[in-house]
Amino acid sequence: MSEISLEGSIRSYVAEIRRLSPDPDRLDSAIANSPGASRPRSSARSYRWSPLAIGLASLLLCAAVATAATGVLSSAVDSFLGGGDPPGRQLSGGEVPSWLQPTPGFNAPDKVSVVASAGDEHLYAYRQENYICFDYGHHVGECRSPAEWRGELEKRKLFIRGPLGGSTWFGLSGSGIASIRVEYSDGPPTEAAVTDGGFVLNADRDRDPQRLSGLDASGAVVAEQPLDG
Amino acid sequence: MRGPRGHSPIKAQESSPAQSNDAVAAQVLRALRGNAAAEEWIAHRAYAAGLRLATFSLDDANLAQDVGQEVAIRVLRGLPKLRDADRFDAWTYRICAAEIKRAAKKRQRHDWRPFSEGAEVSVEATFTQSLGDRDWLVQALGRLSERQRLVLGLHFVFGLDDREIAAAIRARRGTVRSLLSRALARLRELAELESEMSLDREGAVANQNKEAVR
Repeated sequence: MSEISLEGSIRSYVAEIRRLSPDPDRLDSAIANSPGASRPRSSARSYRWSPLAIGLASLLLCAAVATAATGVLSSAVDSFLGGGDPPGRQLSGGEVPSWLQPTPGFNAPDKVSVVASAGDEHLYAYRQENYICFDYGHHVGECRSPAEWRGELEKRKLFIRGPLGGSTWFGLSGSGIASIRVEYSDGPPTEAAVTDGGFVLNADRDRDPQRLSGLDASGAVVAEQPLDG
Repeated sequence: MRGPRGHSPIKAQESSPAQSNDAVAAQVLRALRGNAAAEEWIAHRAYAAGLRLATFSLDDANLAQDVGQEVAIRVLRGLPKLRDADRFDAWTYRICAAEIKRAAKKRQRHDWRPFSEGAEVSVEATFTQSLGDRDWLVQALGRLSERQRLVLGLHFVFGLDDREIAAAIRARRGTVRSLLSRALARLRELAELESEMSLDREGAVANQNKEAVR
């Protein structure tokens, strides 16, 4: 058998294998035996929350070494936690991300907003049942009770949240922060505006990010968070 | 896809997932929010991945269904811990690999197959008659170690490169390249032997025909 026919044999065998389908009974059994599967959850709470980004990319973001300043929630987020509309620009129709669109068996949120954006990446906010949810692009999201969010967000002024390992950083910030700056071991910093208490920033992971700073409208640093590379 | 270093380029089949990574991530997010249809979709995708890889690696239809089912259960149970929906497939492949290793060990314990990893079985004892390409390949794959078959399966069934395979089986890339290279070399060796034996068989038949004519 020549090498060409060896390749052909593998290809045709793989093509045959790809036509295999799960046994429907076993699939049903798998779904039925999975906790929470195949039935709408009573709340979005079972949806994991992505903890404070302890690492970004392969970097480790030092957790919770924040500034001494105690944060106060931005007015938009504060209002949202208090029962108001989601902060930022309200989305409608096809603008709403596909995974939040109404579908059978899914209790879709009434209002979804974009808090901040960078390119195609968006920080979304919405309320689902009694939970406050933030989605970090299409990567990950978290839903928590307003009290839980408040307890968390009042501790500091800067929070990086969302997926680990990417160059796009999502975050929430306290009041008085107008922009975010990432400083590197080399080269100019990256800055992004804070809108309605949130930000999305495209960081340059290759330049060894060292520090995340929150700046007020005058450009003064009002919050800092070291980034441990 | 770039093939592993050190062997001639047998191109891997692209996995050609029907859905883009974004679409998969969207389904994952829907499932995490309790969308039953999305959960079923996720379960089906995970089951199919386990079933297909196990079929290639284990060549046992029942065992492959067991693996697929187990992968689906583990994926559904572990979904809330998945940190990035973009990495769903990579995570599923890791679970598939782990389940196949477990199934292979179980099979070895029960001695379901006459050969096991590293066992030397003479080619002649197995290839006693001319086989079709498909059957030949299945038998030849049986001559490889469990790990070689798993790596080949990840390469050809899912179209993963050596880096992705290394992540799936938690091994070094160099180890994966070596496994792939040796597996393909062994298959070629078996193919050459089969080819020679096939020629011998044809020659023997021709001689018998000549004798019969006389």
